[in-house]
Amino acid sequence: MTLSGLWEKLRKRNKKDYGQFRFCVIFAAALISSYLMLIKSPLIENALPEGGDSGKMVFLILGIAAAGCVVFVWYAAHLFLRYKSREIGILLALGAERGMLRKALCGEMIKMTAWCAAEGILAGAAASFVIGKILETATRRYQASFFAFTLSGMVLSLLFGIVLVLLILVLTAKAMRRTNIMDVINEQRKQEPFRKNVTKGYFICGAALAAAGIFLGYGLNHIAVNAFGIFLGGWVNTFYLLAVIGLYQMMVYSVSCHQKGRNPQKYYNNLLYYGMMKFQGASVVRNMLVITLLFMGGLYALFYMPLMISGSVSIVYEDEYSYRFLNDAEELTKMELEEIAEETGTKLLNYREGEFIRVTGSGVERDADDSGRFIENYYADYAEYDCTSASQYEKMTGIRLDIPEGGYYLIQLPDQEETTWFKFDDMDQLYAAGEDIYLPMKYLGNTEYSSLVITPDNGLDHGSRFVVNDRDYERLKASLPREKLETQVLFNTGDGAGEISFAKKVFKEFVLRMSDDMNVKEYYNLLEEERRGEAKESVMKSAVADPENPLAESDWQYHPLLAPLREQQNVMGNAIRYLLFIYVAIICLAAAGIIGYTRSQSVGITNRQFFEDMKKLGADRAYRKQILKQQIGKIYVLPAALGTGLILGYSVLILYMNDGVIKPYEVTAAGILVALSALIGGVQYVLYKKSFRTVGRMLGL
Amino acid sequence: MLKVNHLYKSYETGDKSYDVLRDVCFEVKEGEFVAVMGPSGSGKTTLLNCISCFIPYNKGEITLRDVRLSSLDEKDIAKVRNEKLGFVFQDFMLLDGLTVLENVCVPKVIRREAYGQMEKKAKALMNMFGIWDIAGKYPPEISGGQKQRTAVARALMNDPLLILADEPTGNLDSRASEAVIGAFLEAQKTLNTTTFMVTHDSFSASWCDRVIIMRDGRVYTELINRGSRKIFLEELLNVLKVLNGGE
Repeated sequence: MTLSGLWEKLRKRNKKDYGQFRFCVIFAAALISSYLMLIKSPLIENALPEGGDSGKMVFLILGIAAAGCVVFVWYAAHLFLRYKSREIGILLALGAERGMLRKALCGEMIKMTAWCAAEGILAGAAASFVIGKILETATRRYQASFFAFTLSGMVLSLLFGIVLVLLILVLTAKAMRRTNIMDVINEQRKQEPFRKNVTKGYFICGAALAAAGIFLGYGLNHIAVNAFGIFLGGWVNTFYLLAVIGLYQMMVYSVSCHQKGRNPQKYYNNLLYYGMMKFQGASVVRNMLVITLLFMGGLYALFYMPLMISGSVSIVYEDEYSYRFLNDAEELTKMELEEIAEETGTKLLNYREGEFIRVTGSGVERDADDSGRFIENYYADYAEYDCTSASQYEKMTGIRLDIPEGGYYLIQLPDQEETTWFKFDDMDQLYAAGEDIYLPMKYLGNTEYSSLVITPDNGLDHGSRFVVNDRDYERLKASLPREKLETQVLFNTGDGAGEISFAKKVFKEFVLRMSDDMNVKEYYNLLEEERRGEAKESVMKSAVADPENPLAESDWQYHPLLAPLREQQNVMGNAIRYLLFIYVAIICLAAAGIIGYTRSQSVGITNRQFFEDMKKLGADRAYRKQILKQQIGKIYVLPAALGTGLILGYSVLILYMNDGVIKPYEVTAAGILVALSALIGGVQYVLYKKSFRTVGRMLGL
Repeated sequence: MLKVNHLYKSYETGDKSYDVLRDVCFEVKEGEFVAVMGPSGSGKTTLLNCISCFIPYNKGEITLRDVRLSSLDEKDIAKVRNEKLGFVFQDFMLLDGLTVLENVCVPKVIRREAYGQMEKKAKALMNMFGIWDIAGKYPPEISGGQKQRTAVARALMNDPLLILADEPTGNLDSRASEAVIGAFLEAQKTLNTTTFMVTHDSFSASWCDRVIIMRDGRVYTELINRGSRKIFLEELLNVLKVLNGGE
């Protein structure tokens, strides 16, 4: 018999502990590698523009997911090393050299973690293949890319595996550094009592901190801008930390404060439960807090879908096809469009053309300076706006507007609200180049026509489109060169299978035929560039518009509205987002579950002697079970209730704050959120029952 | 064999320091069976942990057959624990994943000894303590007394100079306690083993050659067994009565 043989035998006998740790590592590696292999596949990469917001969001989610996985692997490793510490301590006491044991344990842990990471990566590859192929099949109509494994996806997965191995190595080496053998042997029984007595004042202080944190983090910028004209910046989000501290204090109070008060019977009924909690409260509360935060993160990610759906159902386009082009571009004529329609088995319906002109006008730039002060600057030559005449507008939309000279309407989506950054009446003069004078203009209201809101910022700021009086229009148009004249095209197509092919061909031709002045990014503003003397990086020219890939998200200022494609683009984009958010939800909720489960087992290990003593003192099985139930219930119930309650409240607030009312579809969305919460609560209950049974068996209950 | 000279040990808790051992001096001769008794908090277990090299001490010296323990590095301390000391703990400290036989063999496994020699020695010791018939069982499957006799056999595997026992009968009923003390006495008789035992149990201590009584971190007194166990037990009980505030 050798030490390694002995080690091997111990491993076989403790296979449950090993299995639990192995599961966590495999699960973490599988989740992250499947995510990485998916987002690095051409299927997803081609659907996301380089440097776009969606791409950034994907990596932000990856960061959250990786952090979540590292957290639960850390907890699992910590618990595993606690189990192992007794064996290590006994061997040290019997004269085994620390170096030899360190080498054996580190070697075993590295080998085990590396194998598990490899198994996880393989499982992740299989999962990403299945999910990728399902996504590919489901979106086949909308895109041409395929799921495929890429070198970058595999290398990054491997790197994550290496990170896990290093994490375990550090934890193991740290565990082996302890010199006091009695501490090592008794690690499983280690108590972590609170260092101070907690009073009601501590709870009140926690509640006040939580309320102040949420209030300051959520509303301080809003108040500062409205009351003092100062934008304080993103740093105010750090006030949320106060809420986390407050939450911690309330949890500490909930597990440690136990006074007779007005119900002495209850006090005595719970005497043992609180007595036990006091000696392991510090670690219990830390765990509860992490579980609460993970729960909130997981539910928020899960709620993303219903929240997004509720926010996106409101736009109804009057015309399926709407695009604009500068007249120096040789764009598609009606005849050419009809030919494409015929080729693709559809037909043009209700084709209209209208004229817009690009006119310099005034505007207000709102921003925060380096010191965080909110600034408003008015510029006479703020931006070039799209303007049309009342008669042209009526021709295009059928909406008749009575506009006196010097008045204008802003074309908008239905039910739009002003924001801190953009006001409807920001423009008050337009430049008539022919006369070299500024015509004073007065805002008369909004006119709603969604299919014409195809400019940046939902038709606000430099993307604003105005309808002016016919006479004013003629004065503004006089002397404008051809490249400042714009044609707006609106039409529909007949139902038929060919409308997707038709839209794709139109998009391709539209991109290929654009003029140089049209090849600009969404936020490019010629006058801003002239004002600043240089273009901001984010508003440089040369937009991303791939004629062969109309479904890829683009930042092109002249991106056409091709409703059948947009619908598919939404399907593809949303499918990707939902998929990614579901990943985050799974990771956060799995991490919360694993931490709850491991903490429950720690409760069993730490209190084994207590339950033995209770038995000796005559406590029957039912009573001991009741105490255990209270202990484990605390770990599961309070974090789940707090996490769910807070995130539900926050989500309903978002629904309400969108427009100040809760609409019927938002009630449906809220209902879905409640149903999802109930579902997750159910999963949590199952985990609680399993934990209770496992720990009960451990304690012989 | 074992000399403890002017030993001091204190624990730091926050910014406070608690003296647990103060100027402890005594000696244990080869083949002697010595017990340490005293009220809770008198420093018995801390003393044992210092001798076991489980925890460091602040001042003084512990010498085991002319080897000063404080002069040893970590590797040598491990060697001393393995070859010169044998341990018996209150809660047995057996590895649940190994059989009784394998548990007994662990000190020799650590020493990397040949299998045949190892098993021969284990069998002899287990026969001596009446546990050979449970050799293939695992610790959760045997009684407390059997567990502790397994621990005693394990402690003797490397023919140590000294057995250190921390409350070896603390978790056992009187019958099992008797069997464990019987095992120590058998080892003393047949192997000339030296045993140093911390205990609360006057009955167990009454079998010893000598009992060191501790109080508030100091050696309070020493009682010597002059042949009659009954008289020795009475002496012990009288001293403990005084220590606990009686007449």
